[in-house]
Amino acid sequence: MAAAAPVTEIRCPSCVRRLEPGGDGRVSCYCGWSGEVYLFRSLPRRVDKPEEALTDDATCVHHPTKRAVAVCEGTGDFICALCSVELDGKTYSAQFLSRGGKEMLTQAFDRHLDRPDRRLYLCLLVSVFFFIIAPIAVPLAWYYFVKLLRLRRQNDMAQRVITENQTAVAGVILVLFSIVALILGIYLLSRL
Amino acid sequence: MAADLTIAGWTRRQSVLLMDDHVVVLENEGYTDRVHRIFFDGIRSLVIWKTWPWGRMLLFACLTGVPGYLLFTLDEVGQVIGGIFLAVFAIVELRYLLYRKTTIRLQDGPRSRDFVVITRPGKIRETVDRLRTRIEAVQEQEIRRAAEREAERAGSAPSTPQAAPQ
Repeated sequence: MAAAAPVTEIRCPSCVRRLEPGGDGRVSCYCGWSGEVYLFRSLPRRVDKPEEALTDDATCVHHPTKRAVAVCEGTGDFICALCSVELDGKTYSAQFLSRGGKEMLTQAFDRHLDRPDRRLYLCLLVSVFFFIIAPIAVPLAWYYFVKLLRLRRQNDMAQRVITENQTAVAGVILVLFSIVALILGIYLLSRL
Repeated sequence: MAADLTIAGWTRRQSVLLMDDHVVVLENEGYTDRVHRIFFDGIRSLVIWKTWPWGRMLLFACLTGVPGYLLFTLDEVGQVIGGIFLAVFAIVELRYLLYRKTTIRLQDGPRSRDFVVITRPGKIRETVDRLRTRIEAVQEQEIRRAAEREAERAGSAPSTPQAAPQ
């Protein structure tokens, strides 16, 4: 397996010339560009190939001829390098993640993060301009608020992006809006 | 805790979150955010440089400075509105002049990812320091694990796999 080689050169972002910083810190190029550079020792990404199992080796539960290299945290089965998936420092089998652990997998490899807070504000904005649809828009805004609370509880990333303060502000605005909409609605109905 | 860095581009807004072993970049797309992950174990270099945001300064001058000046030369009402425009123009241009445009480039193998921000130098320094520390920690850990795996393969490899320690 290739060792971690320290990086020794970078490309100038301006003229693409090779630069050899010689360490971390300030670097300048002949073209006039200057900046700070920090170099790291990255490992080349390894591709695990499952090994053939010998007579005394434990074998993978899904590939009986392959040597088991890990234990799935979800099912407790022995699994080979092909089946093992590392997630948050733990090893799971791909089969477990595609069935019972689908929720875990979806969250870890999410390509989109839903934002119910933006839909909530859109509902309130629409009901300001088109008050006639407030009876639909305001309950919908409440639905998105509940969805927002649930999302924050289940998703770590959502918890960081949508802070407690932002959630509290959304809740306060929603409550005030609902009270105003209710009072206006009762007033208009009484005038009819 | 909100996003570690917020990048306001010409057409879209991005938020950057520093996690333990990767960076998450959220591209704001209407009602959802598209998630991109950059793992620390493959990062080769981190380059930071500053430039002048001439494009933004010029655009903002056209949007607020010029109309503000034109309004200011009209009547009294125009002077008030123009004054507000010019005040906003002055504050924002001063911010651009003081903070400048900082580009943070993460080289991940053959690909690079640029984050262009205009924010306090202290916040950028703090974020870069945290990023560096985490990248180094993750890479040290990966190197140690790789060495252990190599030693295990070369030496007496156990026939029964063991669960990863908690």
